[in-house]
Amino acid sequence: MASNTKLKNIRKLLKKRTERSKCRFTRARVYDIDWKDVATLQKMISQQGKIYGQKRTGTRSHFQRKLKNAIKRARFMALLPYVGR
Amino acid sequence: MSTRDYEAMFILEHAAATADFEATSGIVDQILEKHGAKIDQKEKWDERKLAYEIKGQRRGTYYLTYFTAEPSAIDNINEDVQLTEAILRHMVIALDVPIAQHIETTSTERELLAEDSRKNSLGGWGGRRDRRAGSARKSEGSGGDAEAAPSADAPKADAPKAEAVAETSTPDQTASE
Repeated sequence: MASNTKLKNIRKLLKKRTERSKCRFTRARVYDIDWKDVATLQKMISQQGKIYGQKRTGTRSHFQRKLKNAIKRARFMALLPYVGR
Repeated sequence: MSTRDYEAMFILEHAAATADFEATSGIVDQILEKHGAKIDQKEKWDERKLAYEIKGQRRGTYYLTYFTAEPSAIDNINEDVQLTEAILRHMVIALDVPIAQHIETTSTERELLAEDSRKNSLGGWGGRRDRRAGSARKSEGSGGDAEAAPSADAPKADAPKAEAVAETSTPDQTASE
Protein backbone atom coordinates (compact mmCIF):
# COMPACT_ATOMS: atom_id res chain seq x y z
CA MET A 1 0.00 0.00 0.00
CA ALA A 2 1.35 3.43 -0.86
CA SER A 3 2.01 5.63 2.08
CA ASN A 4 -0.29 8.47 2.93
CA THR A 5 2.25 11.07 1.87
CA LYS A 6 2.64 9.53 -1.55
CA LEU A 7 -1.11 9.47 -2.13
CA LYS A 8 -1.39 13.04 -0.98
CA ASN A 9 1.33 14.09 -3.39
CA ILE A 10 -0.33 12.31 -6.26
CA ARG A 11 -3.58 14.00 -5.44
CA LYS A 12 -1.88 17.36 -5.30
CA LEU A 13 -0.27 16.72 -8.66
CA LEU A 14 -3.60 15.83 -10.24
CA LYS A 15 -5.18 18.87 -8.68
CA LYS A 16 -2.51 21.12 -10.12
CA ARG A 17 -2.92 19.46 -13.48
CA THR A 18 -6.61 20.07 -13.59
CA GLU A 19 -6.16 23.61 -12.40
CA ARG A 20 -3.77 24.28 -15.26
CA SER A 21 -6.25 23.03 -17.81
CA LYS A 22 -7.59 25.31 -20.52
CA CYS A 23 -11.02 23.82 -20.10
CA ARG A 24 -13.12 25.74 -17.62
CA PHE A 25 -15.16 22.66 -16.76
CA THR A 26 -12.11 20.58 -15.94
CA ARG A 27 -10.76 23.36 -13.78
CA ALA A 28 -13.97 23.50 -11.85
CA ARG A 29 -14.17 19.72 -11.90
CA VAL A 30 -17.87 19.60 -12.53
CA TYR A 31 -19.72 16.36 -13.16
CA ASP A 32 -22.26 17.66 -15.59
CA ILE A 33 -23.22 20.85 -17.35
CA ASP A 34 -26.53 22.29 -16.32
CA TRP A 35 -28.65 23.55 -19.19
CA LYS A 36 -30.22 26.09 -16.85
CA ASP A 37 -26.88 27.76 -16.19
CA VAL A 38 -27.39 30.50 -18.75
CA ALA A 39 -24.48 32.56 -17.49
CA THR A 40 -21.95 29.88 -18.37
CA LEU A 41 -23.65 28.80 -21.57
CA GLN A 42 -23.83 32.33 -22.88
CA LYS A 43 -20.04 32.45 -22.95
CA MET A 44 -19.91 29.45 -25.24
CA ILE A 45 -22.01 30.84 -28.09
CA SER A 46 -21.20 33.49 -30.66
CA GLN A 47 -22.93 36.74 -31.51
CA GLN A 48 -24.92 34.78 -34.03
CA GLY A 49 -25.90 32.16 -31.47
CA LYS A 50 -23.62 29.48 -32.89
CA ILE A 51 -21.82 27.14 -30.53
CA TYR A 52 -18.09 27.82 -30.37
CA GLY A 53 -15.69 25.03 -31.23
CA GLN A 54 -13.26 23.49 -28.79
CA LYS A 55 -10.33 25.39 -30.25
CA ARG A 56 -12.00 28.64 -29.39
CA THR A 57 -13.07 27.83 -25.86
CA GLY A 58 -10.41 25.32 -24.85
CA THR A 59 -13.08 22.88 -23.75
CA ARG A 60 -12.24 19.22 -23.57
CA SER A 61 -14.21 16.88 -25.79
CA HIS A 62 -15.98 15.16 -22.89
CA PHE A 63 -17.43 18.47 -21.82
CA GLN A 64 -17.95 19.79 -25.33
CA ARG A 65 -20.40 16.95 -25.91
CA LYS A 66 -22.24 17.72 -22.69
CA LEU A 67 -22.14 21.40 -23.53
CA LYS A 68 -23.67 20.79 -26.93
CA ASN A 69 -26.63 19.03 -25.35
CA ALA A 70 -27.00 21.63 -22.65
CA ILE A 71 -27.07 24.45 -25.18
CA LYS A 72 -29.59 22.68 -27.33
CA ARG A 73 -31.85 22.15 -24.34
CA ALA A 74 -31.50 25.76 -23.32
CA ARG A 75 -32.37 26.82 -26.84
CA PHE A 76 -35.49 24.71 -26.81
CA MET A 77 -36.58 26.34 -23.55
CA ALA A 78 -35.91 29.81 -24.98
CA LEU A 79 -33.09 30.56 -22.56
CA LEU A 80 -30.72 30.92 -25.47
CA PRO A 81 -31.55 31.90 -29.02
CA TYR A 82 -31.20 29.66 -32.02
CA VAL A 83 -30.12 32.65 -34.08
CA GLY A 84 -28.64 35.92 -32.94
CA ARG A 85 -28.00 37.09 -29.40
CA MET B 1 -42.34 -0.78 -12.92
CA SER B 2 -40.16 1.23 -10.60
CA THR B 3 -40.42 4.99 -10.38
CA ARG B 4 -37.89 7.42 -11.66
CA ASP B 5 -36.87 10.95 -10.74
CA TYR B 6 -37.60 13.69 -13.24
CA GLU B 7 -36.86 17.35 -13.65
CA ALA B 8 -39.42 19.34 -15.59
CA MET B 9 -39.46 22.96 -16.64
CA PHE B 10 -42.63 24.63 -17.82
CA ILE B 11 -42.94 27.98 -19.50
CA LEU B 12 -46.18 29.52 -18.32
CA GLU B 13 -48.05 32.29 -20.05
CA HIS B 14 -46.73 35.49 -18.52
CA ALA B 15 -50.01 37.36 -18.15
CA ALA B 16 -51.77 34.48 -16.44
CA ALA B 17 -48.81 33.70 -14.23
CA THR B 18 -48.28 37.26 -13.00
CA ALA B 19 -51.96 37.68 -12.33
CA ASP B 20 -52.19 34.55 -10.24
CA PHE B 21 -49.15 32.34 -10.07
CA GLU B 22 -50.66 29.87 -7.64
CA ALA B 23 -53.55 29.11 -9.93
CA THR B 24 -51.44 28.78 -13.05
CA SER B 25 -48.81 26.62 -11.44
CA GLY B 26 -51.64 24.70 -9.84
CA ILE B 27 -52.74 23.62 -13.29
CA VAL B 28 -49.33 22.04 -13.81
CA ASP B 29 -49.42 20.36 -10.42
CA GLN B 30 -52.84 18.95 -11.15
CA ILE B 31 -51.69 17.38 -14.38
CA LEU B 32 -48.69 15.83 -12.70
CA GLU B 33 -50.66 14.45 -9.80
CA LYS B 34 -53.41 13.19 -12.05
CA HIS B 35 -50.93 10.77 -13.57
CA GLY B 36 -49.52 9.65 -10.28
CA ALA B 37 -46.43 11.83 -10.04
CA LYS B 38 -45.21 12.72 -6.61
CA ILE B 39 -43.93 16.28 -6.68
CA ASP B 40 -40.74 16.60 -4.71
CA GLN B 41 -39.95 20.26 -5.22
CA LYS B 42 -41.33 23.09 -7.21
CA GLU B 43 -40.42 26.71 -7.60
CA LYS B 44 -40.90 29.74 -9.74
CA TRP B 45 -37.59 29.68 -11.50
CA ASP B 46 -37.65 32.95 -13.38
CA GLU B 47 -39.72 35.55 -15.16
CA ARG B 48 -37.90 36.66 -18.22
CA LYS B 49 -37.91 37.69 -21.82
CA LEU B 50 -37.88 34.67 -24.07
CA ALA B 51 -35.00 34.31 -26.51
CA TYR B 52 -37.57 34.08 -29.29
CA GLU B 53 -41.30 34.33 -29.66
CA ILE B 54 -43.35 31.33 -28.60
CA LYS B 55 -47.02 31.25 -29.54
CA GLY B 56 -46.96 34.99 -29.94
CA GLN B 57 -45.58 35.57 -26.47
CA ARG B 58 -42.36 37.43 -25.79
CA ARG B 59 -42.17 37.02 -22.03
CA GLY B 60 -42.66 33.92 -19.94
CA THR B 61 -42.68 32.67 -16.41
CA TYR B 62 -40.53 29.63 -15.82
CA TYR B 63 -41.77 27.03 -13.41
CA LEU B 64 -39.36 24.31 -12.34
CA THR B 65 -40.47 21.09 -10.74
CA TYR B 66 -38.82 17.93 -9.57
CA PHE B 67 -41.02 14.90 -9.30
CA THR B 68 -41.02 11.13 -9.09
CA ALA B 69 -43.18 9.08 -11.40
CA GLU B 70 -43.53 5.88 -13.31
CA PRO B 71 -41.94 6.11 -16.74
CA SER B 72 -45.21 5.10 -18.38
CA ALA B 73 -46.91 8.19 -17.02
CA ILE B 74 -44.67 10.65 -18.81
CA ASP B 75 -46.32 10.26 -22.20
CA ASN B 76 -49.69 10.99 -20.66
CA ILE B 77 -48.33 14.01 -18.86
CA ASN B 78 -46.88 15.35 -22.10
CA GLU B 79 -50.20 14.88 -23.84
CA ASP B 80 -52.12 16.78 -21.19
CA VAL B 81 -49.60 19.57 -21.05
CA GLN B 82 -49.73 20.08 -24.79
CA LEU B 83 -53.47 20.53 -24.61
CA THR B 84 -53.14 23.20 -21.94
CA GLU B 85 -53.07 26.69 -23.36
CA ALA B 86 -51.47 28.33 -20.35
CA ILE B 87 -48.34 26.23 -20.74
CA LEU B 88 -46.31 27.48 -23.68
CA ARG B 89 -43.59 24.91 -23.60
CA HIS B 90 -42.27 22.24 -21.33
CA MET B 91 -39.43 19.80 -21.06
CA VAL B 92 -39.14 16.71 -18.91
CA ILE B 93 -35.72 15.29 -18.20
CA ALA B 94 -35.02 12.01 -16.49
CA LEU B 95 -32.47 12.27 -13.73
CA ASP B 96 -30.01 9.49 -13.05
CA VAL B 97 -29.16 10.76 -9.61
CA PRO B 98 -31.52 11.43 -6.69
CA ILE B 99 -33.26 14.78 -6.80
CA ALA B 100 -31.66 16.22 -3.70
CA GLN B 101 -28.21 15.27 -4.89
CA HIS B 102 -28.87 16.73 -8.31
CA ILE B 103 -29.96 20.07 -6.90
CA GLU B 104 -26.99 20.23 -4.59
CA THR B 105 -24.57 19.35 -7.36
CA THR B 106 -25.91 21.81 -9.91
CA SER B 107 -25.89 24.72 -7.51
CA THR B 108 -22.37 23.90 -6.34
CA GLU B 109 -21.13 23.54 -9.89
CA ARG B 110 -22.71 26.77 -11.01
CA GLU B 111 -20.90 28.54 -8.20
CA LEU B 112 -17.63 26.83 -9.13
CA LEU B 113 -17.94 27.88 -12.76
CA ALA B 114 -18.82 31.44 -11.79
CA GLU B 115 -15.84 31.60 -9.52
CA ASP B 116 -13.60 30.14 -12.17
CA SER B 117 -14.70 32.72 -14.71
CA ARG B 118 -14.15 35.49 -12.19
CA LYS B 119 -10.63 34.30 -11.51
CA ASN B 120 -9.72 33.83 -15.13
CA SER B 121 -11.54 36.66 -16.78
CA LEU B 122 -8.56 39.01 -16.82
CA GLY B 123 -6.94 37.07 -19.61
CA GLY B 124 -4.80 33.97 -19.39
CA TRP B 125 -5.96 30.66 -18.16
CA GLY B 126 -4.47 29.59 -14.84
CA GLY B 127 -0.72 29.93 -14.88
CA ARG B 128 0.96 32.06 -12.28
CA ARG B 129 -2.23 33.29 -10.74
CA ASP B 130 -3.59 29.84 -10.17
CA ARG B 131 -0.33 28.40 -8.97
CA ARG B 132 -0.04 31.07 -6.35
CA ALA B 133 -3.54 30.63 -5.01
CA GLY B 134 -3.76 26.98 -6.02
CA SER B 135 -3.23 25.49 -2.61
CA ALA B 136 -5.97 27.59 -1.17
CA ARG B 137 -8.63 25.91 -3.27
CA LYS B 138 -9.96 23.35 -0.81
CA SER B 139 -12.28 20.44 -1.47
CA GLU B 140 -14.97 21.57 -3.84
CA GLY B 141 -17.69 19.34 -2.52
CA SER B 142 -18.75 18.41 -6.06
CA GLY B 143 -21.56 16.15 -5.01
CA GLY B 144 -20.44 12.74 -6.21
CA ASP B 145 -21.50 11.50 -2.78
CA ALA B 146 -24.82 12.75 -1.50
CA GLU B 147 -23.13 14.20 1.52
CA ALA B 148 -25.56 16.98 2.27
CA ALA B 149 -29.00 16.08 1.03
CA PRO B 150 -31.08 19.17 1.71
CA SER B 151 -34.64 18.89 2.99
CA ALA B 152 -37.20 18.35 0.32
CA ASP B 153 -40.04 20.19 2.03
CA ALA B 154 -39.76 23.81 1.09
CA PRO B 155 -39.37 24.88 -2.53
CA LYS B 156 -35.73 25.65 -2.91
CA ALA B 157 -34.24 28.58 -4.79
CA ASP B 158 -31.86 27.41 -7.47
CA ALA B 159 -29.26 29.96 -6.43
CA PRO B 160 -25.82 29.04 -5.08
CA LYS B 161 -26.27 27.94 -1.54
CA ALA B 162 -24.41 29.51 1.35
CA GLU B 163 -22.56 26.32 2.23
CA ALA B 164 -21.31 25.86 -1.32
CA VAL B 165 -19.90 29.38 -1.29
CA ALA B 166 -18.25 28.80 2.06
CA GLU B 167 -16.66 25.59 0.79
CA THR B 168 -15.12 27.00 -2.35
CA SER B 169 -14.29 30.61 -1.69
CA THR B 170 -11.26 31.60 0.32
CA PRO B 171 -9.83 34.96 1.33
CA ASP B 172 -6.79 34.47 -0.92
CA GLN B 173 -8.71 34.72 -4.15
CA THR B 174 -8.61 38.50 -4.15
CA ALA B 175 -5.44 38.17 -6.23
CA SER B 176 -7.57 38.05 -9.34
CA GLU B 177 -9.10 41.52 -8.79
